[in-house]
Amino acid sequence: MRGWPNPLAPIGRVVLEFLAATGRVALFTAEAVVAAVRPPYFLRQAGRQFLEIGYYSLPIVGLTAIFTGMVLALQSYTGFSRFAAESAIPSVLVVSLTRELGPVLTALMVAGRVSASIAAETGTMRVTDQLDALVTLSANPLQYLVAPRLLAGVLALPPLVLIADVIGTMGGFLISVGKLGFEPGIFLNRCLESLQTLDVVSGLVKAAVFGFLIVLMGSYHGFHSEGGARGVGRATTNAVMSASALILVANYLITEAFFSR
Amino acid sequence: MTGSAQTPAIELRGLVKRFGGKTVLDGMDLTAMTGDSLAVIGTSGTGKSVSFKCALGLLPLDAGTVRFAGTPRDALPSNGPRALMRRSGVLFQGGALFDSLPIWENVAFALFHTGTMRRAEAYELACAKLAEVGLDERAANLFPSELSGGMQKRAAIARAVAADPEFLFFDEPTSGLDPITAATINRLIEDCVTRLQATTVTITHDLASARQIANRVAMLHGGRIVWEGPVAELDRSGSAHVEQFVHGSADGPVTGDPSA
Repeated sequence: MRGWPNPLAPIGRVVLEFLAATGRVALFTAEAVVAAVRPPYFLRQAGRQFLEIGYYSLPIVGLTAIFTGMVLALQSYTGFSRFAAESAIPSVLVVSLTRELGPVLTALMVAGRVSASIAAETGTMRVTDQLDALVTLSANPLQYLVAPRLLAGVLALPPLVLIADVIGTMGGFLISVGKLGFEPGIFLNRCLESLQTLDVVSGLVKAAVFGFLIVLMGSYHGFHSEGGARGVGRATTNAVMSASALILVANYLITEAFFSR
Repeated sequence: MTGSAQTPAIELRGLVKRFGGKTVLDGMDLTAMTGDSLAVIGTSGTGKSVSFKCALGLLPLDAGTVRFAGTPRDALPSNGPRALMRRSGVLFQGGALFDSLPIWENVAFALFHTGTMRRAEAYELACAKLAEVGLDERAANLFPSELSGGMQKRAAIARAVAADPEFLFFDEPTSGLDPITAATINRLIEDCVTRLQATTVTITHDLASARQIANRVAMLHGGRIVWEGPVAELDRSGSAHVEQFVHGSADGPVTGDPSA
């Protein structure tokens, strides 16, 4: 006779599956990093990927940054004007952008574009035997596909974030000067006075870590996709979701490391 | 060429491969002597492609041994599998050409990307190999998606033989092709095998292909080889499985369930 189903069993299954997935990702990460530091190095591939991840992400990153800066200026004014503290807007704008909004929003945008693209491309290669073909041609797929992308991701995100910081600040500047009545020189001076090296450095460190996570998640899910077009679609969705979640978790941890007292 | 007349070039012993609870290979044995061209036939879903991937180390085995020129693949040194791949040429069922690379880079991949050959030299060699399979320089600069299915197969054959391998593996080389293109591909493979004197294993369910390419045939059914012999004996094998396959009959020991 069968007893009642154990209500804890589904929770246990989820926990076990989560732990197994964490282990698989950790192993894949270790293998990918080892592959990246061992020769041969596919620098031409890395160059192509740098263009793909960095240069072709510029339009969406620029668009996101300028509207974020504009909205931030407007919202800060709405709040600060109640306490006659409008003069704090340039400081809040530039510090928010360089520390948090620039790196996080840039990374989320790039995750949507690049993680999905890497997962779809690698997943298609998996289901059409192209990854196996790489092995039969004496190439290590991790060295040929993942290592150049990891390098490109880590190197491309920091300049993208710097550009987003500048464009976002310009967005805030446009609204502050054109709509809120700030003097251009005073606004820019306040921005520069408020900005500290650590603000920029922490943003760039975040960017490099986010670049690593974006490529890692795209590659991991692409490598492990199965079951034809449906499997590739699932891998793409999972890549974007997991990259976005990891970016937010990593953002908290790095902020804690840099700024907790 | 490695291996003596007594040492098989490729030897599979007791291969077992399971997916979940389903046993696809159940103690498969297969031997190809140096210079043999062996065709493995069988119905769809019998595990022909699985055995091919297990032999190459692309899928892990649950049990069994794979030997190349007498050396177990598992006993090779750390760089051994890669060195073994350098001595092997593989044609995948769908071609598996790299979408992101032009045809000539696909053909010269092992020499240019993972070898030491210079770009210009690799381009020349790729064009020469493509010419051998009937593709011109214009095709060399196209991407795989810009070629027809038959041309993709030709390019994939050129890639498989580009490094003049000792061992050749062809997985369903004529699947999805019309009879005329299939016959052309068969002739190309036959030419390559004769020219390279490579030990060749071809997975196919196309008997015309097996008769043209191979000098020996083995039939896989229920995870094991149920008959093996010279291609000339295919029509008088004495095996009920082979006779049913040759005559394409629905009645006989081979049923719709490949594991039965």
